[in-house]
Amino acid sequence: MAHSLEAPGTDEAPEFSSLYRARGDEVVAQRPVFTGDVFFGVSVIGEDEPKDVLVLQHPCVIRRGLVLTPKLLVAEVRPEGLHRPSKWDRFPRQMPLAELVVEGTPTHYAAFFVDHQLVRPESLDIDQRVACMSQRGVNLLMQRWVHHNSRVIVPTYDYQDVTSPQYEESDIIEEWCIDREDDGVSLDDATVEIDAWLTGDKSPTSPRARLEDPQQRSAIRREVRAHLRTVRS
Amino acid sequence: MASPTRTWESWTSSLRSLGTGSGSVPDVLEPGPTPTQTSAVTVTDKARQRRELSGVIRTLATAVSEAATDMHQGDYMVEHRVRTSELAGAGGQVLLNELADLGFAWRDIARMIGVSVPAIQKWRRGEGLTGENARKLASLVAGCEIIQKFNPVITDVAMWFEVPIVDEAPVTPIDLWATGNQQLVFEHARVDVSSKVDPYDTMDSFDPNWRETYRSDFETFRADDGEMSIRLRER
Repeated sequence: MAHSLEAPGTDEAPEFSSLYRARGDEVVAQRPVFTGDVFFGVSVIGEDEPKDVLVLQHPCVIRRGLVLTPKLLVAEVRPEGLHRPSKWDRFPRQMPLAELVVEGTPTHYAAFFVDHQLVRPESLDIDQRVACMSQRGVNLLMQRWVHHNSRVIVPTYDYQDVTSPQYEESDIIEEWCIDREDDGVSLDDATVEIDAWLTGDKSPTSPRARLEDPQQRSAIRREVRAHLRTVRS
Repeated sequence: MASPTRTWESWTSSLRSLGTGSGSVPDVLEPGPTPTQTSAVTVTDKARQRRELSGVIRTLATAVSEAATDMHQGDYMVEHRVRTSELAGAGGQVLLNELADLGFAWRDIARMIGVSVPAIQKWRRGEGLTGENARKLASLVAGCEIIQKFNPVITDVAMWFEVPIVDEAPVTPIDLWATGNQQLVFEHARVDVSSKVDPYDTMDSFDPNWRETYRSDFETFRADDGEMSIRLRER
């Protein structure tokens, strides 16, 4: 079977919500900026008017340690008609963002790969983030972005292997920061705490390095919980 | 319904009358030196009866084996239902803590329950959940208990849920559970220790076209810079 651009679900049973981890009020500030995040009203380099954008940068190069890279590649986001899943392969120059806005009547958008821009990290106001993608959403985005640039279609389950360690790390950071903010710790301090724990001694046995092995992840999640109990005690 | 014991006895009696196992039934493939037509018919009839009875016995043996498997499946499925009902009243926070202590990711729990991650996060903070979702959460906790109870080899049940069923496809028990195939999860976990469920059979039951669905021309590998990368698979 030849590989083809994939879509969430079928026309009979579309799974548009599976693209997102969180939308609208569900989005939390504790989640680190990640591939596929959608921001509204962002100042982009070389443009006078703010733009709505989607972060295109691949997860493994989006930041060094805690710091985002000085310039991030983004794609412009604009309202777009709803494409049924069977039609997604007819729009290879965009990432459909069906049901991006769900308050009131669902509104559909798309990120347009031909209109890419650069933004500085400080322009990405976390309060302006309107959606974070699910792992499935990130994999679909990667498939379409790579296809747009190279005309090569890689199955999304192959992207899973190369994006899941960073996605897992973002999950851990988010949960840690939520729990620590409950303890009265600031978001910045909580982020430093969990980054230090993940980094460890920077050896191959540090939590961050072990996250690359899917079979280690359940153990690391247990260790994070144990570490949280220790910090709180 | 006829008594199985009586049926079994009648069959064994019939077999004895045919001399099965005693070697007294002539072999039709090696006729005697001067067989009469009458004796040939008798031998052929008896051979036919033996074949029919053998078929019946094979069918019976299969049915007994399946009945035993069904009974065992019934055991753990009943236990799963009962335990689910018990746990359903434990409260969302308690159940989520149980799953988190096992090492599950919130996103995987959300997938298996059929809700969003933010919904899970709200439950963690004490917001109420519907009875249906409480039951789904309880079902997952009960499922983990059953798997660990009936198959002690699985010491890290959260990791076990994340491991692909076969090397050739990324499908995991999480995918099975999320699509309502709990029975397949239990079979794959070999909660019936006597069963020898082939993982390929599990995959066939989940998706008969999985070999085609997940065939890839690519493979992932660790590049020289230490990062995971994708390249064309060598043919």
